[in-house]
Amino acid sequence: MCYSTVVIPFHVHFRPGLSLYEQVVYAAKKAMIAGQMRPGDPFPSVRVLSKELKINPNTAHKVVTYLITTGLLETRPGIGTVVAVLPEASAAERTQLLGQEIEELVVEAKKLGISLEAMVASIGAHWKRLGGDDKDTDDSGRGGRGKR
Amino acid sequence: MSTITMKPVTMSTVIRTDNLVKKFRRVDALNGLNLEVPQGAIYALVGPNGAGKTTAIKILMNIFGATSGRAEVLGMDSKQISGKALTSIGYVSENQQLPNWVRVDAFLAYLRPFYPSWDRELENQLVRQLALPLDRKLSDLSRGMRMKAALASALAYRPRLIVLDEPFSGLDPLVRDELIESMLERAEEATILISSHDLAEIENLASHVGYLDQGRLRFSEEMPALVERFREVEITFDAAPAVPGKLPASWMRLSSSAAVVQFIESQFDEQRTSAEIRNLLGEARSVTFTPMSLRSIFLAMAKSGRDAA
Amino acid sequence: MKQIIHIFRKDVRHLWREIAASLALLAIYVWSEPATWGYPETARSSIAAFLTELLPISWWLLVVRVVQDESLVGDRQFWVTRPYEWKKLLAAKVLFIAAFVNVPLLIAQLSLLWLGGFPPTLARVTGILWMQLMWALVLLVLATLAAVTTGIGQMTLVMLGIGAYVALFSFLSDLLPQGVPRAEGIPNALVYAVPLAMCAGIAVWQYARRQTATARLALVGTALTPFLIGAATPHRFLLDRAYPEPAAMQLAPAQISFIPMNTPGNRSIYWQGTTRPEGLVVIQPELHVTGLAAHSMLLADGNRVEIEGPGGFRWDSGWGPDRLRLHDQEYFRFSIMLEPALYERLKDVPVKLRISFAMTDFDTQETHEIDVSEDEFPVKNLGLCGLSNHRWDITCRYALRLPGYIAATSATQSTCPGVDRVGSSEGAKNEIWQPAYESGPAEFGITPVHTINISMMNGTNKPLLCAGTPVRFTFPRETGRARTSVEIDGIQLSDYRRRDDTGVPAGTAR
Repeated sequence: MCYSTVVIPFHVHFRPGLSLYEQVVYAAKKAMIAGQMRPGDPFPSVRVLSKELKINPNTAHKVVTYLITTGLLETRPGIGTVVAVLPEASAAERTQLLGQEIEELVVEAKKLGISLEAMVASIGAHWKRLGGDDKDTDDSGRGGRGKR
Repeated sequence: MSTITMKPVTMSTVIRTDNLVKKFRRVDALNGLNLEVPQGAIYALVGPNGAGKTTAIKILMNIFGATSGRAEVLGMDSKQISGKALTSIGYVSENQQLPNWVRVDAFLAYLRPFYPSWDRELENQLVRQLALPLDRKLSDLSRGMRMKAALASALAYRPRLIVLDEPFSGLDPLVRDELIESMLERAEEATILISSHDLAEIENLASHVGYLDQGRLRFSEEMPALVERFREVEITFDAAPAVPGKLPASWMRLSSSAAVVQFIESQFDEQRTSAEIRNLLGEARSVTFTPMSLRSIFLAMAKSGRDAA
Repeated sequence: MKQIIHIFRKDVRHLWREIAASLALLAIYVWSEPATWGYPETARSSIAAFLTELLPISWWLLVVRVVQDESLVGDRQFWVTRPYEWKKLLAAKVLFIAAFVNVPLLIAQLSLLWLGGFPPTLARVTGILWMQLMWALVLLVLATLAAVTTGIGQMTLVMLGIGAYVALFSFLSDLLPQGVPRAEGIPNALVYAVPLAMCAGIAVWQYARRQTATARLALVGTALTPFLIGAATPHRFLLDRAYPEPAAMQLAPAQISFIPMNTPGNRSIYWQGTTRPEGLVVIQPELHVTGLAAHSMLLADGNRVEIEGPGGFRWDSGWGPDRLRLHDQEYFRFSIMLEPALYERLKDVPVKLRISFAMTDFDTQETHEIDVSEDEFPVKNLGLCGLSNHRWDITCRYALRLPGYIAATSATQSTCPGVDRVGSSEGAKNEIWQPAYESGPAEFGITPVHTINISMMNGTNKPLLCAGTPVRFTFPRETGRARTSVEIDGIQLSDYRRRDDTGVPAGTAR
């Protein structure tokens, strides 16, 4: 007995209370920008998305529709949905992806009474420790290498 | 506090109840239930034990009748549900007793002729997906395996309405996963009503959720809308604030200790809620709004229900 | 229709063991039952007797198991949310019971008839069908009870409850005014028909609506209907209709007159053997029967006693059942039972007594004379008879039911070696009158072949019946029914009270 294993090529970390559809879109976008999904790679169908992520098929449908509408996915006859050629994502856009995490960071910092300068210094320290450049690496349009 | 926000019905409703009341000898199980399940929905019916979920489902399935009120299923009065109507309804319940003496394959073969829409291919596929042992008697199966067999026997004829009453209870995570997958495969062609305590499982599945408590729906709405309006609020003050006696009705379970006030906002709107906080409690050092899982929402509802009772 | 067969086949597959066991028991029964037709008890006949108890239990088990396979009680049965149509479900159960209880029983009964030497004629087959109908009604009651109980355990309790109910019913019905059974054909039929019809209705309704609580309540109500029918029965009206007063200018079939005590003369008094019921006083006036036509037999099916006392006092016992054979020119003592309080009140005062009888008149001209033989010999109207080992019994085997009353008379001559005269005086006969079992076209039971023992002892212990002894069988035929009564004026009850254990009242002349 075999399950057909179509792997979802990105990971969704479900957080409670947030819009499901937004979380999946967000995870898909991150994966595309980080290079985990390249243009031409097949994107899971609505059915597979629904079954593998255990989400309502309507939600899965909304996700795919949105990604197609914003041009991140395109349908190729005979093959299905594939990742489209990605437009260059500016630094601002990519930073926006991390908006949620940054907001949480800021809130926690404020609660603990940490100043902006101390926060930036701490970020820099962590950046160094995990390797890679000091500055951001926007020129390639793909995500940096590095540990996740 | 009770909120019932009903989305306007644009598609046909598969299930509708009108002031459904059910009284048993000592218990009033349903006290005027007004439930609406739109076509194509995956409707999660949640609520504390004894809220009346199983009673409501049994009335919908015409297993027994209501004391008063009306229920409509697939456009038909629920009291007329029998014989032919049941060929398009699949029902699985943890407390239904299957004929234990029969083998799995004989059970499926026995049910086949009852359903004109029975799909042999789909049956085989379900048997494979759920790994059903065809040659074992139902009584020899584990609980999870029996539920899977029941589910297979309720999905193989492509019912338009699938009703599941506590299908996950007592089942291991793998079996739950398998059940959910089989359900989701049918979700595009069917409407699903699922009553469950396993909120983590259904949180991502459900398109609609209704909270039943003491025989009444305290809310019934689309999942995204529900998720949008509930927040855990934590406010840190410089000094302990004066908490006024009259607070907005949508604030639940308010507690204050030293300089921190916590409550649950059930009608969250960033601007309005922030303004209310400022007006009623004064300026704060920090205010955090944290979205809540379905489980947290349930607990908040249940505890506030208990407090109010 | 297909659904019916489909459910039927599922039931067969589920219950094949129970079916096989039941059929096996029935086959053994058919094999062993003929052994009971002979006189000596063998192992085979004991098996048959045992199976007579066991077979209905096996049928009960089949009915309960098949009905409860799709149980109607509760709200957790799997079939309730499946596309069953209740009429087809009910039909499938009926089909199962018919196929595995009724049909095998029918085959068994026809086999026994044939083995007993009674080839199936139209009349006999009608009798078999009547027996089938009776069993179908029993099965109906069992099925209805199975439809409102949750399992064999609960069903067994219910059966025990029914046993208690039947006992209670017969106890209570002895206390209520009874009337004369032969006059009460319609109420007697209703006492069965009404509860059975209600059972059928309840069973169908339970299949249609599955409202067990209401069905159970209705069944309890059904159990009460026999009492209601009994209480509502107009006994006197029915009796007056069944046993009319003789029309003007016509004589009653017999005259009954009173013989006051101390009347001289040698009269041999035919005793109406009575038990002495506790606490009641027994008054026994002597009566005389005359005017019986030749070839006539008279049976009193019921009697009624009315007492008129001083100051307008009246007491009426109402019509009650009796079983008294009246012979021409016969003297007999009629027993009146009185409560002690009533007796004390009336005993020393002259009262007027009226004793009425409801009588059935029989013509006894239809006879069959036959010489007894060592082998089986046929007796017209009855069946096949044979001599028992004891030489004073005739054992007869008959199909479905007795033809009514039977009398067997052996002549004074015995052909047994060493015995030339039987009986102490000229003209003495050895007579046995066998009352019939009144039941419709057939007696109820499993087997359609029954035996009856006609015992003709005369107290001498000498063998009476040997090869060649002539025996005359008489088959009385009912010719009419009538009431008659005897009035006794100015009788003093204390003179006629039965005092001692031999039953002879004080003051009797001898």
